[in-house]
Amino acid sequence: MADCREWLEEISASLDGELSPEKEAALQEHLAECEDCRAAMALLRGMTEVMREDMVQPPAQLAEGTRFLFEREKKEKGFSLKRWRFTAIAAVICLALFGVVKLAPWSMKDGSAAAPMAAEGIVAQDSAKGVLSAPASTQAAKDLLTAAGSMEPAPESAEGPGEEPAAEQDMRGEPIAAAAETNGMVQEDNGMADGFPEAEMNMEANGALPGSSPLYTAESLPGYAIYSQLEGADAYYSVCFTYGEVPESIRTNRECTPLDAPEGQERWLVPLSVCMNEGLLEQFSEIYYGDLLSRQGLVIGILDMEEDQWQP
Amino acid sequence: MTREEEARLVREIRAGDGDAFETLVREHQTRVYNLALRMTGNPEDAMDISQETFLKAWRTMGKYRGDCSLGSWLYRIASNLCIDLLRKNKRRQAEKIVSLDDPGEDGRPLELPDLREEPQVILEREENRRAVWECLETLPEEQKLILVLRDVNGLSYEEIAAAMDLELGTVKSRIFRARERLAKLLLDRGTFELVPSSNTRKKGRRG
Repeated sequence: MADCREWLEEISASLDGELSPEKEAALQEHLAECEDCRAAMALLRGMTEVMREDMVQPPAQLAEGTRFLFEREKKEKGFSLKRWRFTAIAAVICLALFGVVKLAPWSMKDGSAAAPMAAEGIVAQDSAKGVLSAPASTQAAKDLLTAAGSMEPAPESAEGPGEEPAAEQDMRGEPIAAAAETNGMVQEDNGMADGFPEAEMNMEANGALPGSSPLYTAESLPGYAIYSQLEGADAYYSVCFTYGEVPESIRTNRECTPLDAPEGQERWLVPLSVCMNEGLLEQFSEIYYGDLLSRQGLVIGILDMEEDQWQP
Repeated sequence: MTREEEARLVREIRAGDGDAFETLVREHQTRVYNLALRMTGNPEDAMDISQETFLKAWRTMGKYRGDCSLGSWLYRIASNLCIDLLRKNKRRQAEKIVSLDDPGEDGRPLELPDLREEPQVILEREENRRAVWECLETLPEEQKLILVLRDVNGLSYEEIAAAMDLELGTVKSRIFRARERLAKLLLDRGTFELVPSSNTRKKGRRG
C-alpha cells in the first residue's frame, strides 16, 4: 500500500476539518476499504484530542500584571534600559509571601529596637567589610524612603523585640549557606510576621558583594514600585530574590544559589547581574515586574557596585 | 471579535487606552498562555512570555496592518519569543541528551510503524496524557509549535500560516509530519498499544 502514505496526510487534514468536500469524500471512500488508514486515523485522532482537551486557564496575575506593565511603560515611553551604563547597582529584593513590609530603622516611626533585618543586613555588611557608610546617608536613599512611605500603609513592622543588631555580628565571615541556615531558624522562630529574615542580607553581605556604598536602602515598596524608583538610576542593577518560591525559570537561568530555609519555604540567592546582558536586561523589567507585582517584593538594599566587582 | 472590532481596539490601544489593552489581553491570554506553556513546558516561562507578547504587541502595534487577525499576529509574536527562549535554553544545556534523530532536517520523512493493526488508543489514563505532552516536548521547535497552534489553540491552517509565516500550502504537510513524529514517539513508548484486529490479516502482510 505504497500510496497510503499520501492518504495519511489527508487523514491528518481531515481531522482538522481542512479538506475540501471532494477530497474528504475521496478519503472516506478510501477509509471504507483500507483498514490500515482507519487505524492510523484512530491513532492520530486520539493523540490530537488529548491536546485539544488540555487547555489550562492562565493565572489571574497575567492580565493584571500585563496591564500594570503597560501603564508603566506608557508613562515612561522613551525610557530605555539599553542606554543604561554597564556598571552596576546591586539591588536586593526580598519576596515576602505575605507582603509584610519593613522599613529601615531610620525611617521607622516607632523607633524600632526591632531593627528590621534589612537594616541589619546593611549594617552587617558594613561591619564585615568595614567600608560602608551609613546606609541612609545618600539623598537617593532618603528620597526612596519618602516615596516608599507614601505608597504603603504603615508596615507591620512591630514584630516584637529580638533580632538584636548584635546578632549578626556572629555571622560575619560565615559562608552563605551557613548564614542562611542560622538566620533561617531565627526567622522561623519569630514567625511569619517578620515577612522575611535578616539572613539574606547577611548572606549577601558576606558572600557576594564587594565593598561598596549603599545607594538605596531598606524600603517598603510594593514590587512594582521598585522600578519606578530605580529606573532613574543610570546603571544596571542586580536583584536577589531571597524569600519564598523562586520560579524555576529564574533559578535555572540565573545561576542561583540555593539557601537553607525553614521547612516549607524556599530561598534562593539570585544574582542577576552575573549573566545579565543587554538582551536579558531588556526583558528584565517586564519579567520581574510581573513577578513582583504578584508576589510583593521589597527592596531591602541596593549597593553601588561596578560590574567587574560582582562575584557570584 | 470581528475585524471591525479589532480595528477599533487597535486604534484605541495605539492611543494608549489601558482598558483597550486589557481587553486585548483578556481576549487572547488563554491561547497565548497555553501556547507558551506547551512550548516552554513550565508556567513561569509561560507567564513571562505571555506578558512579553502583549507588551511587544503594544510596542509594535504601529506595524500591525490588519492583514491577518489580531490573534494570528499575537501568536506570531509569542511563537518567536518561545522559540528564542527554547534556543537559548538549548544552548545553555548543549550537552544534554543527544537528540533523537531529527526528521525533516535531512529531508528524509519518518515512516509510521506498521499500522496494519488496530491501535488501541488508551489515552484516557492520566499518565498517557502526560506522555503526549512529554513526547511533544522532545519534538523540534517548529514541529512542536505547529502542533500547539493547531491542536492546543485550535488555529485554522490559514491562521497558522499567518502566525508562522508559512505558505498555506505547506501547513498541511508540516502538521502531518509533526503528528507522524509524535505518533511514532508515543508508539515507541507504548502509549498506544497495537492490538491485532481480527480481519486485518487479509490485507496481506508481506514478509
